[in-house]
Amino acid sequence: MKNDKVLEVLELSKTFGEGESKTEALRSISFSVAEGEFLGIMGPSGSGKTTLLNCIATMIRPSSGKILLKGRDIQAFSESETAEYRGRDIGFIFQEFELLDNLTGRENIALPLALHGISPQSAEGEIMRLAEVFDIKTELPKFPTEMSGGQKQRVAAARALISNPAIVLADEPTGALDSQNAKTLMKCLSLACNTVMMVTHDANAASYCSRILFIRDGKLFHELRRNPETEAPSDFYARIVVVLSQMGGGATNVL
Amino acid sequence: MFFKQVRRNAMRDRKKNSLYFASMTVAIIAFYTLLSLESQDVMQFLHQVESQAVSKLLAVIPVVYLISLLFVFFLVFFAVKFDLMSRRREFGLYLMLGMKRRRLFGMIFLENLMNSTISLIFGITGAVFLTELISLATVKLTGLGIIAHRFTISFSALLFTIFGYLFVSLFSTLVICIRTSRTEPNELLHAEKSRSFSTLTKKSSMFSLVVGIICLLIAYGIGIFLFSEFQPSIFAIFFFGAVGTFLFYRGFGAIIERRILKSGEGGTGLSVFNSRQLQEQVTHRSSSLAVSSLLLLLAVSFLTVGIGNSLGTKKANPRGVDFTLFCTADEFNAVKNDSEIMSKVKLAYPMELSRVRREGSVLAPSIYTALDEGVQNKNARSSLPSFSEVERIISESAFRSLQEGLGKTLPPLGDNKVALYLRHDSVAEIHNVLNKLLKNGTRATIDGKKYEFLPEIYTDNIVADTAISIYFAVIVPDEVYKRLEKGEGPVGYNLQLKDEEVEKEGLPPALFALQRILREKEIRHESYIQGIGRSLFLAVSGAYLSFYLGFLFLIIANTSLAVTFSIMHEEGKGRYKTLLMLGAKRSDIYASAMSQIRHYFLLVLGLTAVSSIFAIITLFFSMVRIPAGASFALVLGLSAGAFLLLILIEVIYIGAVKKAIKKQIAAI
Repeated sequence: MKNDKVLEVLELSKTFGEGESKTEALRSISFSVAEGEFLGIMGPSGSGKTTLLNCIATMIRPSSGKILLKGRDIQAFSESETAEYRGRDIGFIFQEFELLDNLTGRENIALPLALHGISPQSAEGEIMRLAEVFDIKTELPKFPTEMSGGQKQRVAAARALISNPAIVLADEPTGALDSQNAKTLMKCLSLACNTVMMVTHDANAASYCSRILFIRDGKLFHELRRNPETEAPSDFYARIVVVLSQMGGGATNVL
Repeated sequence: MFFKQVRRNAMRDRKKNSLYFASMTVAIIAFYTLLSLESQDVMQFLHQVESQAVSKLLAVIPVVYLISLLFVFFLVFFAVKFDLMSRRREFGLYLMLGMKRRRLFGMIFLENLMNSTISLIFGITGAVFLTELISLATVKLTGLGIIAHRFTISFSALLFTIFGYLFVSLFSTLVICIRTSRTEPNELLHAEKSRSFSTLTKKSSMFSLVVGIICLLIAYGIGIFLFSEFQPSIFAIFFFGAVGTFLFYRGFGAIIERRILKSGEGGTGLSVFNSRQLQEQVTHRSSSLAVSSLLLLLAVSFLTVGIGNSLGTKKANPRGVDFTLFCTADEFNAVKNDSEIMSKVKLAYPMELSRVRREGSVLAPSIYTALDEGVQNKNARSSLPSFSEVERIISESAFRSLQEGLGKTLPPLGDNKVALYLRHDSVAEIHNVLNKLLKNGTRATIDGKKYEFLPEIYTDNIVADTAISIYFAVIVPDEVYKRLEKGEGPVGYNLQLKDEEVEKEGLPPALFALQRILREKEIRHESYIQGIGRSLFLAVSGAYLSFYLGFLFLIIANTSLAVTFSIMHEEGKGRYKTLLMLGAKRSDIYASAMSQIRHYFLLVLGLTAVSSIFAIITLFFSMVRIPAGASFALVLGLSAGAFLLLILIEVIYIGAVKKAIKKQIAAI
């Protein structure tokens, strides 16, 4: 049987602090991401969605549970395997872009390849293809300070995709963008990426997803699916908003 | 609570900037050492013998102090500014939490006061020890034994050091606080986001670089070809050298850019990142690199002059005649009958030196021809006297007495020999040319008769100090002297102390004792003690001040370099976090930072080394003259010592920066 699960999260828990200050950010969460899926993670602040993403990105270690990428347990990785995983198996898009301000757009995009000993010259074709998709051809020789926020985030997205990762992890990628730039970015992402897992607050951005997991208090709360062929993002948006309002407790939680 | 926080912040600052604090402590040691010069034993002694020159030197010290204070001010200003910049977020937070600006600045002020005080305590303790060591070393090195050593603390030096340093430190803090007070809390909180990276356009970078190199070449050229002939050209050297250095660093980014583009942005690993980091440091901090490079160059130059001076003075001081009296023959006879004086003196004789009676006669033409042909060095040539000046003769008996007084002998001249006298501090080249000539058996002609020269050149000073200064003379038999002298009588009467007197008390006290008697009897004289005083004074003033400034500039330049690098690194810390997220290994990042440090220091030291070579050549062509007889091994040894000191200081600084950066990376 073909295993089309790119990412599997099994019984994942994360606890911060000890004793009275103990906070359970994630409580035994399990889910998987299939190849080609555009998964959204939504939830109120403090629900644990960023902790979840950071666990998968190996930025923090979970307290218990397993994370498997293409069947391999990422917690068992050595330091060099972890570096390899960060640079090649996943692509990461940050809310604040995190471009190196002393490298040009082209150098920023090529950085993950260079870090793993691949000459960026050999990937020139791929860089140009991504620049075309993300409409950043003219930004390639520029430094980040010479770009707009939207351009920076598209360069960052191209960087996340350059090493052809198994999955792209995005942490509030539209958080620092205006609505027009957010829309352009989401369109580009859904075109260029194969498998994405995106944490977001933004219902507009989430409407580009094919599935959304809603998390509250560290647990799965709800799941929405969309068939991209039959349901337009605008209809999906309406459904997301309903769940979000339910998750807030509707009117019952209002004091 | 407030003071507890101040104490804690101050401690954190000291830990974070330990290199800076160590350097400040060294600067304080240097200040005190300079300022306390007046009260150091060696100066106290010199004041007795060379009071005028010492006063002149002491008048220069405040100027040197102010200049070094000014340099330290810039360094402190720079370091405090960047320390506060790296804490902008923290300050923004305090303000947002409702701290009043006045209280915030009070806090910063107190923190700096506390750290400055701690630097002062360490610095002054170290300085007192160092000055003690210097005093003891001077006593030992000069071998004089005259300086009754005692422990001293100079209170005026203490006061000036404390106030000078506190003023510099607190004034710079105040200026920066006032500037920061105009910044809004929000801007402080989000300080690191506002950084921008920009490079000069390629054309203007290349232009800067080319013009910079041309300016440097002009400065080197003037130094080597013009400076020894025309001293005011030093201003042109400074101008072209400084402008060239600034432009060179301003434009150097272009070379790095070319390197990046040449590799087609195709370097793997962190090579592109490293080059961009270096480019950013060079472009954004080009003036700071230029200033550091120039300061290092000044340091090397001062150390060179210091070495030259200390060599130059050591050799100029062989013991010769103890006293020369300037009196009439009758007065001299009275001295000879004075039991108080004669009880201390083993020899008293007239120094018979005279011009030749017949103007324009040339006793030994071969000597002048040989010198004219053999001496090529410009400096040596300029010190050659003209023919008319050199026609001097010394009587055999006077010179024999002089030699006897020094425990040497002069072979008998008989009636067919003469000897050549040359001043003791002549230029090596002249000495060599004459030596060769005498070995070849050259002759002098007096009244048509040929006289053979003794093969040795005699160089003992014919008077106690500098009253009579001649370059050449011919020592002739007494009978010839009487025939040729102008009849003006002896130039002075020399006295030589008894050996027992010298052995009993040491040379200088014995000299002082007889000097006192001569002063009481109002006999005009000069003493060998003045010579000792002068050479010691030159050694102290020349070498001491040169070494002081050299060392201080070395410290300031290196601290400025280290602080600049650390700050740039601190500012770009976020980049390392991103690199880790993109899959860089920690070991790669560490290697990258180390390579940046190496290249950064290499960039400054490289240009400094090239400029230094030219500076040293220039100095040895003009200001610094290695005296005749100074051993090559000694010159080489001293230079190697200075070079090792430079390397050691660089290694210490680079090592300290590496350690600090390693810590920073581990904490990411």
